[in-house]
Amino acid sequence: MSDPQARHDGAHEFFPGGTEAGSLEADRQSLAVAAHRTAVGDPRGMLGEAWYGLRRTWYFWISAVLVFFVFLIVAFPNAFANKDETSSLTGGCDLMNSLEPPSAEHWFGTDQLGCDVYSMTIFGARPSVTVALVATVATVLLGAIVGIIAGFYGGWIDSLLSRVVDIFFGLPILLGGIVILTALGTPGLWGVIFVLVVLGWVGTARMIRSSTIEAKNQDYVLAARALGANNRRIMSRHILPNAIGPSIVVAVISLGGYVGAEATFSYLGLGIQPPEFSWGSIISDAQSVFFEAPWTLFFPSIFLTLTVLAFILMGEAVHDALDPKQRT
Amino acid sequence: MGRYAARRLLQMIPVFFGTTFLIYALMFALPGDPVHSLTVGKQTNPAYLEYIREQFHLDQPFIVQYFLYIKGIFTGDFGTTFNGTPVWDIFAQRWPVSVTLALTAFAIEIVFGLGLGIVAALRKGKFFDHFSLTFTLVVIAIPVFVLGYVMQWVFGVKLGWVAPAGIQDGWPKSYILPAIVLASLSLAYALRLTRSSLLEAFGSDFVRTARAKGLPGRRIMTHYSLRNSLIPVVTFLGADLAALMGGAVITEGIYNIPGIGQQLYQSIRLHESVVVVGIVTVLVIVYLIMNLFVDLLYGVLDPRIRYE
Repeated sequence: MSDPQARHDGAHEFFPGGTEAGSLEADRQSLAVAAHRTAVGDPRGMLGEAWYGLRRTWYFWISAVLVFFVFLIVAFPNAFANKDETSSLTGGCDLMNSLEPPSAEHWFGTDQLGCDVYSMTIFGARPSVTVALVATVATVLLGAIVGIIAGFYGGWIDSLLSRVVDIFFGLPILLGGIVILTALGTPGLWGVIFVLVVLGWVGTARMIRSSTIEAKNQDYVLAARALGANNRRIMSRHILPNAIGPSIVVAVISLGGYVGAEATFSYLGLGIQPPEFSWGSIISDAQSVFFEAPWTLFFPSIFLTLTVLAFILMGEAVHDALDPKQRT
Repeated sequence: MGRYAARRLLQMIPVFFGTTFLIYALMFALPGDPVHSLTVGKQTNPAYLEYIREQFHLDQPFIVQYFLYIKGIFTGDFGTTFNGTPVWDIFAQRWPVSVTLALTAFAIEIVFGLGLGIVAALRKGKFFDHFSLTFTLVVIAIPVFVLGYVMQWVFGVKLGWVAPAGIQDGWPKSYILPAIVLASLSLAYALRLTRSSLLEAFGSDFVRTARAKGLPGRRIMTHYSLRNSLIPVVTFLGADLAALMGGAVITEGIYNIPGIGQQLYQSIRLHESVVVVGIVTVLVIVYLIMNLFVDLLYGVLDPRIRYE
């Protein structure tokens, strides 16, 4: 960032907008910091700039709280619920309690087998979020590598890679996923991850490719080349950091999308296989008793929707923070 | 323009072969012998099994099967299923249902997505704007099967406005509920996209110039702001129509609509590769042509775009 930019941001911190109940001492400190920034011209990097914008959006904080709770449930499900109450195998489910409405004992009611819907919902979170996290990281990595190679080298490499991308792009995720998962014999969690990566990387690849093409003729790339940097260094240190921005936004949003996708495949019976379960398979089991016992479908659906919403909101917030054009 | 279209058509050829080959290979890799599963539990003559294998080229290597299949497609023959139904007949029976559903959903999407998007942009920062932004985010976050069941329960069972499933009431009564469910996600995206690109146009120089020239507000809206902000929306809608045509596996499943999506799901489960590859091939062609159409439409909407 150039010097005036830093000064401008310093001014922002100088007038915190009355949001913090700052004492005079705190104000004096922030003034000192701002003055120091201005004097030294402390540049804020892309990430610092984004964080600065993020802190100011209310929906970022809502999504952050939601995501925090989701990860809490995923990391320590035993702190919230009893695993025994999710399976007949452990004797935690009582068929006599089949399809009981929500009560003090069973907050979210019970399902057909008499299992506690609340415990199932809590323990069903882990597979969904695992799939989303692994698939997102893998799609971004694969997409970034292919996209940057295609965009940077151009020529026949680009033509070849672009056609491969086109082929996968023509396959809708749901359709291709159903075929692949059936062909693989419904291999469960890792099968879903495989499908999402194989069919999902092309979006990132296209985006990175076009931003690489835009970036590679910039002056700073010429400067790096003049200083003797080789292709690999230019790609990893100069082009990638400048081209990855939009993909980060898409990656955060796709975390939500992949949670939904895992649920969809499990709902169709192609994802997580019994005795394992996830939100999607719980909802799938609930559909046959849905009219008599709506709570069996209702509560897992709420958790699923809130999780997807949290990631999408966070993606929106990151998008607004990274895109200075929309900042007001 | 003509040359551009020709080049794009040429580029479609490898994509067409790649996608169909991929699907064909995947269907080929499905576990189990299709002929065996056809005759399971029945006394069959080995000679008959040989006959079936020969008739469906199952005794040939995979790559030969693929090229025989492609050859069939180019002569208008999509093959027959193992029990003798021509795939064309299945298409003729199923596709009209899915297309009806898709076009109904598309109409809802255009009217409400574009319309409400324009309203939201005109009232930026007001209640309706905030409401529509929040509401669409929630709609995007709800998985389609959850929305499908909830709508079915509320409007089909509790309120009883429409039959909860099936198409016995014909259009529009049987189609309206599944069409709304099918349209909801794209509608939400279309609304947000319309709103944001209109807002971008409102702040642009050419709109300011038009206003400075003293043009009436209505004309600025229709000829300047809308026309320019439609380009990304049209791209989205074009790709979306192709996706809608593919039938909705989940929506058609929930509402028991005998369309192409349901057929596709059943055929995959039954290992009817001919039907699956046939459906996917047609879908890919529709998708490619829609994309080309959208690209050419760019030039009509935005005269600055020239095709070299």
